Amino acid sequence: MSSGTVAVAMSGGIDSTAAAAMLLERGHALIGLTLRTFPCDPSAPDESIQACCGSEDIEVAKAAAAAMGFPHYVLEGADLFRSSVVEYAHAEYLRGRTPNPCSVCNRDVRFGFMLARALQIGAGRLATGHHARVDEVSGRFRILKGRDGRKDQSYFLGFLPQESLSNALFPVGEITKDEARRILGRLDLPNKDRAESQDLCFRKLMPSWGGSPCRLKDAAGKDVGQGGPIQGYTVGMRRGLGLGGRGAPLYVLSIDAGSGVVTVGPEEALFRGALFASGVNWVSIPEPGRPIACDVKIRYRHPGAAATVATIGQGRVRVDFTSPQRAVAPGQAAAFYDGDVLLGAGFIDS
Amino acid sequence: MKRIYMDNNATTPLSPEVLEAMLPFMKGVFGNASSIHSFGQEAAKALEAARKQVADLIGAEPKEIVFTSGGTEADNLAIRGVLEANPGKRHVVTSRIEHHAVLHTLKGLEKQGIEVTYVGVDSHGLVDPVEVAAAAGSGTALVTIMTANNETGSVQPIAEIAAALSGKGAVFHTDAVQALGKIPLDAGKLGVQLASFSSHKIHGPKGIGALFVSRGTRIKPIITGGHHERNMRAGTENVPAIVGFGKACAIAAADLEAESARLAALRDRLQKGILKIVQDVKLNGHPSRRLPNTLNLSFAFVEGESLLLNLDLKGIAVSTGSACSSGDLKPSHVLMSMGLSAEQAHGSLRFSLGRENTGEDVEKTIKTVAEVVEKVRAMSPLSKGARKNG
Repeated sequence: MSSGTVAVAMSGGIDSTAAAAMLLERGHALIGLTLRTFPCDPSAPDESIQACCGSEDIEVAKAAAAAMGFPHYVLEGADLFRSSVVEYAHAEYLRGRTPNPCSVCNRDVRFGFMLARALQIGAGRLATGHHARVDEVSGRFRILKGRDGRKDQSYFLGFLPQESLSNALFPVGEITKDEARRILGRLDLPNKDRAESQDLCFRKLMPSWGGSPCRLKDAAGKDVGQGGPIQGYTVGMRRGLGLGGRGAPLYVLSIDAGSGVVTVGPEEALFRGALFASGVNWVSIPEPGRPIACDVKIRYRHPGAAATVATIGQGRVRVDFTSPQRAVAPGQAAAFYDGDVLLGAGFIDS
Repeated sequence: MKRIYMDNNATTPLSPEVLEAMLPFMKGVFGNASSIHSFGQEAAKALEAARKQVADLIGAEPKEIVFTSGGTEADNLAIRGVLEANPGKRHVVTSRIEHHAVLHTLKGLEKQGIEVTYVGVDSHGLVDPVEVAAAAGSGTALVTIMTANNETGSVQPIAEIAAALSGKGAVFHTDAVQALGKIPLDAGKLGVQLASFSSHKIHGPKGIGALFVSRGTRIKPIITGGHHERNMRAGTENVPAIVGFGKACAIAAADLEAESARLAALRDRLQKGILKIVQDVKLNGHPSRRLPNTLNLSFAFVEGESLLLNLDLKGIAVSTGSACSSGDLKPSHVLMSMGLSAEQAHGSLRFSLGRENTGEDVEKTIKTVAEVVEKVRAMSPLSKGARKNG
């Protein structure tokens, strides 16, 4: 098998199928890979897990590969997905944080296990359907935003190490979602009319919650009511607090899992001028020796805000925004951009 | 690229003679075997001739053969049908290494209140007849132990279990799907009341199988709606498939001795060849009490999945230990029950030879397996590193 062989991580969705079609047109030999993320065990307590990232997706991916005429394999990944993604997300929620399972999945599952498997079976690289781009500038692999700005997924790729990126291909990052859909239509592939996937499949695999009710307090520490279990809250959320009829709407400001206290307050109290992030991975540049001015995204749908990012040691950074940002949620990724170039990312601590 | 198929325990290619035998029943002869007229009589005649061919292969009477849609339905009929017919008994004894057609069916029944005892196996994958018999009591409706295991090929002491069970009052069923046509089977000598068979494992068509039901066995149908199959399985008979199954049994009966010896020689050559040139390989299953065509090996430091994919890309079709349980989150329940570690079970490959395999295939496979194992082992630090992250 030549190094021209590419493995494609196929979810059955539009983008990964389009990625395969694009690579095929460029003359690559392809091997399709789909990870089975759910246990297929009839004695499993929850039958709904069968519907999660379910066998239908696998069948669709298989059918698309068959229609394009390259081999396709289903990799057994239920154990790995549970231990690396589901348990991580669960633990984060229990700590009162908002997990970023897609980022962790990309690092540990797609570009960890699946890439290793791809290399083992003779592929030179692993392609996915992410709307992002990768290039190499003087020996450093960079990640750039996808050409379709509305669909850009570079935010979820910020924790990929250089050795993964050196083997990564994101063909769909060069085109728009509509163009991807048109490729499937032109080839009359079986999944051309599929709805967009939601990427929230891990939720159904989560162990049942349980947990005792939390206390809702205001910023001054005054008890304002009883809430549900701690994991039901995310910084910035408003609905479902059960605190209606108090005039100005209240939002979750912070969560302290240790003491079981959720602090609520008015919207203006949600704004923060700075954040600290840890576990920082530098992507397109080496770790900078001095503070850098860049745009920082604090969640997937965040447009990005001007800030200064300063390394403070042990893989941590301090981010100072030019103007305060609403709802900085611990656990989410903070991704640093210079224009379209993803410089790096870290997990928000506070 | 000439492809080599060594996954005959999963399914086998249809034999050309079987296809020939079936063709008239897919073209001109279309009657419903239940019809009184001459069209029906033609079909009925073919049906009964096939029934005798199946019965002859296993030393049974034709009327003891109930055609089903396959081995899985035969297992379901045996388990559910016996429980239905013996409502006062709510206990079943089985082994931990049964096919999922049995295990998943029993798991479902446990939710409905049936009590199931799962006996273990030794390191060769064999059950202890004394332990099986000891697990059966007056409330036991059914004991179900497979004749030969699909993953390892280990052949269970069925006759000894039957002897140990005598007087217990439980119906004894064996899933003989993998054993059929590979080792001699005599229903009378085995001492079982029920036995499941499948056509496509012996070069017959898919979608047809049979349950041997010894005369006098208390069992009820699970598919109702007609008097077909002596009231044991309703639905118009699939005559072309049944004719094909019959022909496949007739061929297997005629060839069994010679073909078993040929396959055993090829299998042993494959086993010796791999063990000789690849280090750190372990044989799974009993060294001699084993189907002649089956070889299950654990390769240390690699995952069977990776080997399987590499071999397939080189045109050699084998399976991992868990091929039949694809999607299961655990490594092979069979290998784990035999005491293998999860790593050993994950590193397993099953080679199951068949009629089309030649000595040349075996030599090519030995060479290719050695290459692939070496390649994947050389990369395994990367794989381990990736797993550490996960």
